[in-house]
Formats: sequence, structure tokens, C-alpha cells
Amino acid sequence: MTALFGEGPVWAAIPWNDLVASPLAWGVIAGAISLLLLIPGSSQRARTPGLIFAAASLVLFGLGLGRSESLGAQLSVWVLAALTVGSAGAAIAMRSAVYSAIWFAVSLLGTGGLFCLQNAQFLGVATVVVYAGAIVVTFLFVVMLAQPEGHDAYDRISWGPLAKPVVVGSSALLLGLVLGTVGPALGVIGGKPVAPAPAKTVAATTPASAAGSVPVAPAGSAKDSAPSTDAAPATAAAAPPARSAIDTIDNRGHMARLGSVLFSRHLIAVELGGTLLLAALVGAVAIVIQGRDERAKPGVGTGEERNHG
Amino acid sequence: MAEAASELFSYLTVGGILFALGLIGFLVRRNMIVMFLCAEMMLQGISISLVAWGKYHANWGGQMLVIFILTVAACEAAIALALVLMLFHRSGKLDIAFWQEMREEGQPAYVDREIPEEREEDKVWPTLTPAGRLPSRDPEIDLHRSRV
Amino acid sequence: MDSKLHLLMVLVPGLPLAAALLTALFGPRHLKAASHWPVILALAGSFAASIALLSEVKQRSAESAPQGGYEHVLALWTWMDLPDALSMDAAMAKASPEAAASATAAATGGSLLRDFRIDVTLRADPLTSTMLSMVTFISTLVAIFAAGYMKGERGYWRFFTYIALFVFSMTMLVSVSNFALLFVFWEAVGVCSYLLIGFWYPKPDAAAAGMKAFLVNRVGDFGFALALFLIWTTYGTLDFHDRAAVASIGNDTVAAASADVAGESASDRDRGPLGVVSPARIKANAYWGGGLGLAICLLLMLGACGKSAQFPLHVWLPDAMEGPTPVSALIHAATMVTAGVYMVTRCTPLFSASPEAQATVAVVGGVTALLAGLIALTQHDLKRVLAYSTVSQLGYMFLGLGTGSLLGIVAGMFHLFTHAFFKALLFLGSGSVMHAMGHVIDMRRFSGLRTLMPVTHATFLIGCLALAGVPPLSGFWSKDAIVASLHEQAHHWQEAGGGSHGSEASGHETAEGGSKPAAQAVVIPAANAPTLISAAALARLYQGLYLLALVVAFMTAFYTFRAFYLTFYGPERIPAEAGSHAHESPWSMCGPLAILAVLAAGIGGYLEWTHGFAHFVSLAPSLAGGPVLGTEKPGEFHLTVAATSTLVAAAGILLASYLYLGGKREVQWLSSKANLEELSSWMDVERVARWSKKPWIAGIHASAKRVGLGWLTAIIGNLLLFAALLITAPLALGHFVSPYRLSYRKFYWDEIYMATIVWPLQTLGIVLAWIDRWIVDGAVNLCGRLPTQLGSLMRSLQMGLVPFYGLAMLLGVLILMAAKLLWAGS
Repeated sequence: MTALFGEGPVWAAIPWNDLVASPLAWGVIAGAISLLLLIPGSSQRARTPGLIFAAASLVLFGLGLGRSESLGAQLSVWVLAALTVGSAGAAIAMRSAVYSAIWFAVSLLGTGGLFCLQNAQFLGVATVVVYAGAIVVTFLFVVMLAQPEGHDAYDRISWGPLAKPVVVGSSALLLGLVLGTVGPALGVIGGKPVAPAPAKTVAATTPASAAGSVPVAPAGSAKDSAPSTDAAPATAAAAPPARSAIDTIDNRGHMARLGSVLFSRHLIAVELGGTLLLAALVGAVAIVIQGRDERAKPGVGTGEERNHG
Repeated sequence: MAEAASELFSYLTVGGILFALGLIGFLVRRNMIVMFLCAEMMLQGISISLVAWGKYHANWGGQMLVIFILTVAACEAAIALALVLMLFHRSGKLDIAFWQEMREEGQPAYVDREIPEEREEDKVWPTLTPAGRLPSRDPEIDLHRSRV
Repeated sequence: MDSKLHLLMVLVPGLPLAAALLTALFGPRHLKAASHWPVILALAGSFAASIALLSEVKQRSAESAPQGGYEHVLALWTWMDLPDALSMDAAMAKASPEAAASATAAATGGSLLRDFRIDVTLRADPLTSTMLSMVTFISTLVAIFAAGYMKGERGYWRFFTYIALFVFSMTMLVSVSNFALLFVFWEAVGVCSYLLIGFWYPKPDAAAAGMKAFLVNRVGDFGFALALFLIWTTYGTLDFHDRAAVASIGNDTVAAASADVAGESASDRDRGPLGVVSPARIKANAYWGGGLGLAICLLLMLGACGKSAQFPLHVWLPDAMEGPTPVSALIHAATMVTAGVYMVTRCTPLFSASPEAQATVAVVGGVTALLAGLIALTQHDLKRVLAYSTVSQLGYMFLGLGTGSLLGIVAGMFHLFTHAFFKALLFLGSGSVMHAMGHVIDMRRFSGLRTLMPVTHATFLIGCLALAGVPPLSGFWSKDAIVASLHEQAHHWQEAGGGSHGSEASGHETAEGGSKPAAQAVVIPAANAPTLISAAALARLYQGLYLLALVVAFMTAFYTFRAFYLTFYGPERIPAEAGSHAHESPWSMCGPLAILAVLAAGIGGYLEWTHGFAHFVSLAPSLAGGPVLGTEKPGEFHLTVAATSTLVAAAGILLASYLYLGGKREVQWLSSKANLEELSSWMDVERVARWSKKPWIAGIHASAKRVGLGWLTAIIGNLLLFAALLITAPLALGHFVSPYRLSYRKFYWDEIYMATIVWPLQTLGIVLAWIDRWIVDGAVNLCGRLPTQLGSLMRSLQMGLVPFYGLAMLLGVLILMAAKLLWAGS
């Protein structure tokens, strides 16, 4: 059993105190509460408490975010993150599908900004153009076509009484687990600058350790248990190795490099993606044509006429 | 590199939150359109994480993946909207709960709870700000138009 | 020469089989109302062939008579052949009488390996050919009769198919030369009997009777099968014959059976063991006595009891009268029920080795004869009277066989032969009556038919006289022979008990006339001495059975004529069912009646006068050698016995005439006496209570009242009344089992079987069915239902809602992450 459980209980290795002290944990909780209050449910509530909790969770998340080198960068991250997360929350909390779509588009704008901050300008623009400009607008069209009244009864409720707490709770738990493991591993939570160990995480899932023959120490105690083996990847990860010009990401010549990488190394994938798009196009047309043959059911007349008439 | 890790963690956090929100929305909402929006939201969360990792490791892999995610999302949107339209033709609803024929034989169908009354503020429907003057409408023409 | 014989042997069963197939295939579509023609023609041809066979056998047996019996065995094909199936262990082989007596077995050192080999063999010997001619003759006449009787019935072709199939099975039964095949056709005739009893299967009574016959026969067949197993393990073969003495088709040069093949030929293995009742074995008298022999014989007897409706298993035959009357005449009077008699006769050497078994046969026969005779006295159903008389007469035959003497066995066979004629005649006569009376058979509902049906009346009278045993008719001769053999046997054991063994043996030696003196003198006393019963007891037994036979003869005469008078005399009454067609039967029914009447009257006397039957039958291998030879020779006429039985029969007829021709008052008086009706009057409470009204009792009571003791007399009176009722209560039982009621209710045998066998088995069956249904099946079903239930727990998760599947994925991811965190490191 020791082999199975590793050396000592894993719970002990998790920095509980640091987690509790981290604002992120409280942000997750506050966000969960706000969602519980805001997501349409069986009973109508006032929105104010939910909004308060949502604001609190946003603040807590902002406090828990990593620090950037400059205040300007920090501020832009804060603003864009708040925009993204807040409008995403609004998108799922709205009772009207149209509002949801609009809020999602706003969230996509924030995402695009975040992409730009990450040296991914092309993606930022593409997201805004493709998602917000095309996909979401298409969604909006569909919503408008299907639901001329805006929102139907099923928009005002969710599944049975248990579904909402269970879903929100388990999603929060999932998020908490992810943040709670990644944060300490990156050294962001708990203040101890633990070397980020991407290699380490790879090593932890190698077959040898998975088989349980060589118990691999959890990340928190990595240095104590096996310093010599962990030293090399740790330093490698801490200082990314020198790369060729094409591999480096910076602002100069971004598009050219992206394009060259995309059309050289990932050429086949690009072709496959194009083929996939074609297939999806044909499929969508086929589905709609098939559906047309089977329509003309009583009671659905109005929507159809508007779509095709 | 503490800043790099810290920055990475910021974006991971945002991505994670987006993913979680999308997940919640997907599982809780019943409008098929909103569910697909939430699925896209989850993809966005993943995209943010990938881009952040790509920057952290200083390579193009993350961004490449996000490009393909965009592609796939576009395909998905096309197919999904076609399907949604077709389902809407059949049922006249966008309610996912209407489509539960795939359940096990003998299982009772899921029945809605009682639907609460719609509140006044929810009835507000986004409208465009009127611009210009109202066109003069010929009552004769209005009489013979089937739709707006 | 041989080929002609072979042709006849195959033709006799072959023609009915062909007719059965023909009728079965073409009856329903093409033959329809003409279905009887192929059957009648085939049966007539079969009869002609069997007569030719009879004369051929007679001629040949006369030539080979001194050699200890004539048999000719024809092998058609080999049915099964398992080499070295049985290895008799050395001790058993040493101890076997065969090893002791047979030189070859002793020479091979006692290791006896036996092949289990069954050849489909037909045999021709006097016993078989006699049976064949009787069976085919009766069946031909019955088929002709049935053509008139069954006219217009539904399933006309089916009836004749069954009849032909039955005749095929019956002829095969008496033709085959192997116990296993005997068993096969024993069952085949049982099946035909079942089918024919239940011919009118929509009638619940008929269906139940068929089932009853079949089930009761199963008991007997069980014993028979066990006997076969014992014979196989004991004697190493199931063949009647020696394998060396077999001819096959196209091979005429095989030596005819001769008694002295056994001793000298080179290899024992080539020839196989001696046949169970082959002349060689009989000559050597290589039979087991003691417990083993007794067991074999008793089990065989059980089988015979089932088929021939003897005492413990007699209950099916009267019910079998639900079948069409020609069937009753053919199967349940003349042929099938005599299969047991035939089988026991065939196995005579086995029975000779075990006097106890013979005594058992005699006792069973006697008890059956008496029981059935008593029951027949009071029955109202004409066919039932005849059925019980059949059972009774079969008991007679077994009485004859049970004597164990050649005289008795031949007499039993003789009675079988004559009985077939007059009982078939009587049944066909009753069928004629039924036909005229619209299928009413209750004698209380018709009477005085003699003017209406003169032919039936006359022929029935002849049959009754023959059955009653009136001198010139055939029944007299055969019955008298049996009675005489019992008388002789009683004398024989008296002498044996009084004198010494030596004198008995020497007596045998002189009686045989020196044909095989050495072998007999050595073997007989050892094998034939009774071990369980003393000779004196046997003498008393046979004396008792002799008297019993006379009593039964009296009863037979009485109930036969009772039925006869009730049917044909008295005022003419016709039941409503007869309608307007109460008339004499057509020629196709009267013709067979007339022919049978002539034969029933004459054949016994003819055969007795010429001594033809006894001499011929005693040339059969089973009877021509061995211990039975040492007994009384058949054919002698015992004047005193004959006179006695004639007187007895005449007394029975006279009594019946007095009671049923004259006034009815005597009958009423007799039946009320026999019913113990006085006893029931004692059970009447009011009658007893009336005693208190008697003047002297009332006077005592009044005077006691006057002195103030009225309460005392009242109490005493009531006590006395109570005591009287208590005393008379057991008399109610006497009323219940009064002689008349016992007879009328057939001694409650059906009820006894119902209570002791049927109900317990039914209850057991219900209990077992319940256990099987709810416990065994329940366990199996539980094993099947458990996964379904477990599965349906999971089924409820399959709601068909996409978000729930998504939620399941989310929870699954959570569990995986938690597991990873907890157990495999972060």
C-alpha cells in the first residue's frame, strides 16, 4: 500500500495553509455562490446578492493572480481578465439567449485582448473576427430566428433541484483542484518559489512510476526526496533552452513567423483542417436538406416560413 | 523566471475559470444555443491556457493548437447550428429536454418542474435605437403582407 | 424347402404391416370408407400364410419330434452388436449351472465374455405357429365385423390402421426369438392397445381408460425389463435360440435345430452362449434356481400380470372396455392379454427351475380368477361382465401354467386357444347388441332381445355355454384340462411330500420312457426341489386351488347366464338411444359371429378328441424337454374331474335360470341380504328411540316417576340408547363393505390404488413441481434476474439527456483527479 500511496500521505504534501491563505480559494467559493444565485433556477431571486458575490469573487481572483513586472501590464491583465470572466459569467447567467450570446461576444473580446498580451496578436484578432464576428453572430441569427419572443420558459429554469448545486459545486471543486495543484507546482501559491517542473510532471506519468515500482515524490517534496535527479529538468525548465529564430515568440515579425511555422511544420494539419471545414460545410448543408424533407409538421410552421420564406 | 511563472499562472487561472463557467453553463442551461455558446466558452478557456503555456515555453505549439481549435470550433458551429435548426423544425423548441428519446426503455421521461413566472425585467428584449423617422406605412400594403 | 418356410414366416407379420402403412398413407385421402379392404385382405392373407406355416411346422416337427422339440429360426438382420459387453466374473461363471452342465463352458476355463448382440430373428415352432394362426384368424374375423360395426365412424381409416398395426405387432410378438424384441413388440401392442382404447379420444372416459391401461402396464413392463436385465446378466444372452441354429434368408443350408449341437463344435465364442430357452440348454437343464431364478421368474410374472391383467394389476382391463367393441374382442379378450400367458409358457424352463415361482403363478392366477369372478357377479354393464370374465379366465390360464406340469401348461395354452374363440364371439355378440341398442350397454336398460336379434342370441348362447364349460363345447375341454391338471398336481406333491426323493426321481424316469434318462436323473432333483415351501404345503396349496377353480367355474356359469338372461330374456325393452334401428346386425357382423360360434362350439372337442393340440404344442422347445417332460403327459381325460366341473357348471346355469328367468323377488331378496340391509336399520336413531315408547319400558318409567326416580330411569334410558348406537356404529362399516357392495364396487381396488398410489404420487408430484417451479427454477431465475436488476440500477442513469451525460463525465474526471491526487502523487 505504501507503494500505491507513495511515500507518506499525499494530503500532507499539499500546502493547505497556503491554499487557505490564497485569495483564489475564496474567489472560487464566492464565484460558486454567486453563480448559484444568478443562474436561472426554480425560484426568482433578487440579483443584488449574486452580483455582490460575483464582484467579490472577481476581486479575489484579481488578488490571486500572478504579478506582472510592470503596473501597466498588471492593470491590463486585471482589466481584460475581469472583462473576460465577468462577461462569461453573465453569459451563462442570462435568462435570454440573446443576452447570453452578446455577453459571450464581450467575453470573446476580452479573450482576444488576453491573447494579444501573450504575444499572440494574430489569435487575438482572429478570435474577435472569427468568433465574435462570425460564429456568435450566426448564433444570434439562429436565436433570433428560432425565438422571436426572445426567451422561452426553458430559459428561465435549469434542470431539477439538485442539478445546479451539484454542477456548480463539482465544477468549483474541479477548478479548485486544478489551481490548487498547478499553483503550488508553479510556486505561485504559498510564496515558496518552487521550480516549475513541466519535465517533472512528465516524469510523474512515465510508465515506471505509474507502475508503482519507483515511488515518485509529489512535487511539494521533490527537492527533499530526489534532488539529484530533479535538478536537471528543473533548471532546464526554469531557463528555457536557446531556440532557433523561428521558434522564439516575440512581437517582431510575428505574423511572418506564425505563418512560416503554420505552413511548414503544421502543413498537413492545415490541409486536414481545411478538409474538415469543407466536410463540415457539406455536412451542414446535408443536414438542413434532410431536415427539410421531414418538416411540415403541424405546429412548427411559423419558424420555418420565416427561415425560408 | 518567477514572473514568467506568475504570469503563466494568471492566464491559467483565467482559462480555468472560463472553462469552469462554460462547463457549468453547458450542464445547467437548457437552451441548445446557450449550451453551444458554453461549449465555445470552454474552448476559449483551453485556448487561453494553451497560449499561455506556449509563451511560457517560448514556442509556437500552443498558438498552433489554438488555430486548429478555431477551425474545429467553426466546423462545430456549422454542424451544430444545422442540427439545432433541424431539431427546432421538428419540435418548435430549442429545449434540450425535449430530446430524450435515447433514454433506456422503460425509463420515465424527465418532466419539468413548474416554471416560474417571467419577471418584468426579463421581458426586456434588446432593441435597436430608433434612428430617423418612422417610414410611412401604407395600410393597403400592410394589409396584404403576411409578415413584418 | 426352407425358402418357402421363410417366406411364410415373413409374410405373416409382413402383410399386416403393409396394410397398416397403406391405410395410414392413403386412408384419409383416397380409401376413406373403403379403408377396411386392404386390412381385411392382408389379415386374411396373413391367416392363410399362418395356416400354411402351421401345417409346415406340423409336418417338420413330426419328423424331428424325438429330438426334443422343433424350432426354426430365421435371422433377418442384426439390430445391434456390442462385442464383449458382459464379462461374467469367474466365480459367477463357475457357479452358473451352465458352466457346470455345459462341457464347452467348462473347457474355456470359466471366463465368459458375452457379446451384446440382438439379431432380428423370427422363429417357427409349434407354440408360435399356433398363436399365429389363432391371432390372424380372430383378427380377420374381427376386422370383417368391424367393417360393419364401425361404419360411418370418424377416423374409420385410423381404426383399421391401428388394427393392422396391432396385428403386425402381435404376430411379431409371438414370432420373435429374442427377449429384447419380445419386449419391443410387447410395448408395441401396448401402444396399439392404448391407441385403440382411446380411439374415441374426445370422450373423457375413453382417454382416461387408455391412459390408465398404459400406466398400469408400465408397472408390469418395469418388472419385465428388470427380468430382462437379470436374464442378460445371468445367462449372457437374450436369444431364445442357439446362435448356431439360425438360418438366414438366402442361406438354406444351415442345419436345422438339433439338440446335440451344443456339446462338440470347436469354438464357443463363435456360436455365442446357448439360447435362454433353446433345446440344447433345456436338454442340459442349465437354469438357475434359488433366489436368482425366483427373482427372474417373479419379475417375468410381474410383466405378465401387467399385460394379462392379473391380480394386482388387473384394474386396467375393465376400463379398457371404453374402446370400440371389436377392439375389446380382439385385443382385450383374445390376443394381446394372452401375451403374458404366451410369455410364461415360453419361459417354462425358467419357471420349472423354481417351484416357488410356479406356485406364485398359480396363486396369482387363482386369486385373480376368484376376484374377477366375484366382481362379475354384480356388474350391470354387459361388456364389463365380459371383461371381468376375461380376467377370470386369464387367471384360469395362469392357474394351469402355475401347476408347472406339462399337462397344466398345455391346458393353459389350450384354454388360451379356445377362450380366444368364445370370448371373441361373446364380445362381438355384445358389440352386435350395442350396435342395435345405440351404444347402450347397461343391462338394466334393455332386455328380451332374443326375438329381435335371433342370430346374435343364438351365437351368444353358444358362447355362453362354451364359457360356462358345458361339455360338448370347447370351453369345457380346456377348462376341464386345467382343473384336472390342478388335481393331478395336488396329488403329485402329496406323493412327493409323503414319499422320498428317490422314488420321485425313479418315477420320473419311468414316466419319461427313457428318452434322456441320464441327464434328467442327475439334474432334476437338484434344480426342481422346492426350497422355501414344503411339498406338503404345495400339495395343500394345489388342493385349495383345485377347489377354488371349481368355485370359479360355478361363478363363471352363473354370471355368464345372468348376463345372457338379462340381455335376451324377459320383457322386450329397448332404450331410447336405439331409436328405430333396433334390428339384427348386417351380414358383415353376423357372419363372423356364426363362424366363431361354430368354432367355439366345435374346435375344443375336435382338438381334444384328436389329441392334436396337446401333442403339437408340447413339441415346442420350451415344453419338449427339461423337467416338464417328467410330469404328467397331456391328453388324458379325467372322468371324475370332468363330471365334477360339469355338475358345477350346470348348477351355476340352473341357479341363474332360476333367479333371472323366474320371479325377480328372489333376486331382490338375495341382493338385499348380500347388501346387509338389516344392519343399516340398526343405524336408524329413530328406530332405536322408538324403544322408549314400548309399553313395558314406558310403564317402568311411569312408575319410577311416581316414586320420584324419573330422572334415574331417564338417565339410564339415554345411556342405553347411547350405548346401543356405539355398539352398532361398527356395523356401519359392515354395511359399507357388504358382499354385494364389495362385488359391485370391484372390491374398491380402484379406490385403494387411488388412495395408496395415485394420490400420494400426485401429491408428491405437486410438491416436486412446486419445488422445481419455485426453488430450482427460482434459483436459476434469480441468477438470471440478478444481473438484470443490477443492470437496471444503471439503466436509470441512462436518461437520454445530454447534460446528464456531461455531468457524469465531469464527476468521472473529478474522481480520476482525486484518485491521482490521493494515490499516485500529484
